[in-house]
Amino acid sequence: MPSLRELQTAFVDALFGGEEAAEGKAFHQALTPSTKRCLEVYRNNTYSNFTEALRAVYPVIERLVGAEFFAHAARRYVHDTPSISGDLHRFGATFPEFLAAHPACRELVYLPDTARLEWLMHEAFHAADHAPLDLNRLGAVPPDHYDALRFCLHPTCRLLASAYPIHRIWQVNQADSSETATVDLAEGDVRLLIARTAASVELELVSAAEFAALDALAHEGTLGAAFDRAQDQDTSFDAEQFLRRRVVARTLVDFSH
Amino acid sequence: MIVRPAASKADVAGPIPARAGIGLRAPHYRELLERQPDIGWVEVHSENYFGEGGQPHWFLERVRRDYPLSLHGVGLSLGSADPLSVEHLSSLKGLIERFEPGLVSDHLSWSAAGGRYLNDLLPLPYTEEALQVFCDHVAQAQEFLGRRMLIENPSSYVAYRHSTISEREFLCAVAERTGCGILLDVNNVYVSAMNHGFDPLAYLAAIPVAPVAEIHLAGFDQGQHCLIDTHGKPVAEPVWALYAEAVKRFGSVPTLIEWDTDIPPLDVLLGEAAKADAWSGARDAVAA
Repeated sequence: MPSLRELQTAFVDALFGGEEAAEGKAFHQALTPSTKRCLEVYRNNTYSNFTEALRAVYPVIERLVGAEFFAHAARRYVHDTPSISGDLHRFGATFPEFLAAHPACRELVYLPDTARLEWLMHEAFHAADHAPLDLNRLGAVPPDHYDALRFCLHPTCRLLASAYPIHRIWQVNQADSSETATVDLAEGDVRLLIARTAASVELELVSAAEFAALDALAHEGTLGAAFDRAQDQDTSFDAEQFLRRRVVARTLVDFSH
Repeated sequence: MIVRPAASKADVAGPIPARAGIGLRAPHYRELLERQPDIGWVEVHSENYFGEGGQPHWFLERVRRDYPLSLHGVGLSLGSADPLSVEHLSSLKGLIERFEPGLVSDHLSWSAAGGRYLNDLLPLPYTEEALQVFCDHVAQAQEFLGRRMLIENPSSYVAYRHSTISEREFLCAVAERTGCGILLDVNNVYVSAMNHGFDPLAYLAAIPVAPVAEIHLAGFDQGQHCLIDTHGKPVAEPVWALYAEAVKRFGSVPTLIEWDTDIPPLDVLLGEAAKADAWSGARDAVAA
């Protein structure tokens, strides 16, 4: 008689091993004769639940590669990638890397970054809410001390740089998009800020200098260090205007000394 | 700082009433808030609110002001030989503190082995070892959450040769040993009875009346070799008939209409809820 642990491990191996695999056949010994053939129901449920979770996070990828290839790739990914949480929303974080390594995707060079964008939008959708920055608190700091402040980005903010115009690829592949426009990959590299500072998750194209500043702040750099990084990209970078705009847009929501 | 809009006791609806409610899913959020239909309560899947904020929380906060709420888990994996996930329990506890649900439940099943989750409700072998593990986990969860949980009987498609106890005896023993309540899924009783060849009425007759604090109703599909609990159809006629028998035995109990695949317009769910109230006589009781 198998222990509970042995039985459960064998069950998981049998599901992922497939019906014809040795694991599946060995596990059948643990089942009553009349119910053996219904193990397949659990196999189907498992693949279908995980595939649906991926479809919910990666609708643009599904449109780009087609439903059939997506289902095939998802099945492979589900087989290879253990879910490590009882919360299904956590599943699929490494799907972009899986696509990057998939031979069939080699020619679709923009696919991994588009998938990264969809995952970050999924993260932003579920990330914490936050009140706007307390202007009175900031007003109490003498302006010549600003450089030493460390600003916090809104918890939903994510930064993503890509060699391809993935924001355009995302836009023209929305279910409700009437655009039939093709995207010219030669439009070149982009830097994106993904955030949900109001009701919905928004994509914003930002300059190289602004991206550098936000990236420095996201890594707990001081405002002074962030401005230096931005000036490296663009000597005309206007630090004051950046700070004002990002506070109003709720990109920056808190600070510490 | 995480903004937690105030949910003072006065702002939230009360305990779960003994009438029909519906399983609330994202496609119906807006319509439910706008129409405020006359249903007794709503139930949501706890894990759908394990994110830290955003729309799901925003809607649940508003729904909660108008309707009593039940939190129904699908991911605690109480039947695993693995230890319980403290992270999962903490997320659930956070939701309970914030939304003050009338009932909190999960399943007589398991979903993870060796840290790998299947995110499905898998059947347990009904053995003394599994019973001990399950009871220990329910006791640990109730202790951690500081409240009683309800445990739901699952639909199952396979059975193990080495099971030594019947499912109903196993469920009753869990309730007796841990003090947990029972969420009696009448559709699951029917599906499992057909799949494993037991008498659904005998199953109901074996469940003690006092611990049954909630009933679930849903639709199933006919699979190739067994009935499958898909939650994608209206409640079947024989399940309504079994529900009538359950009402006779357990009295008027909070009853939930669940629908999770091919989700229909809200009115279809409301129609099923009204039907449940008619079967149980709950509507007459409310009117009187």
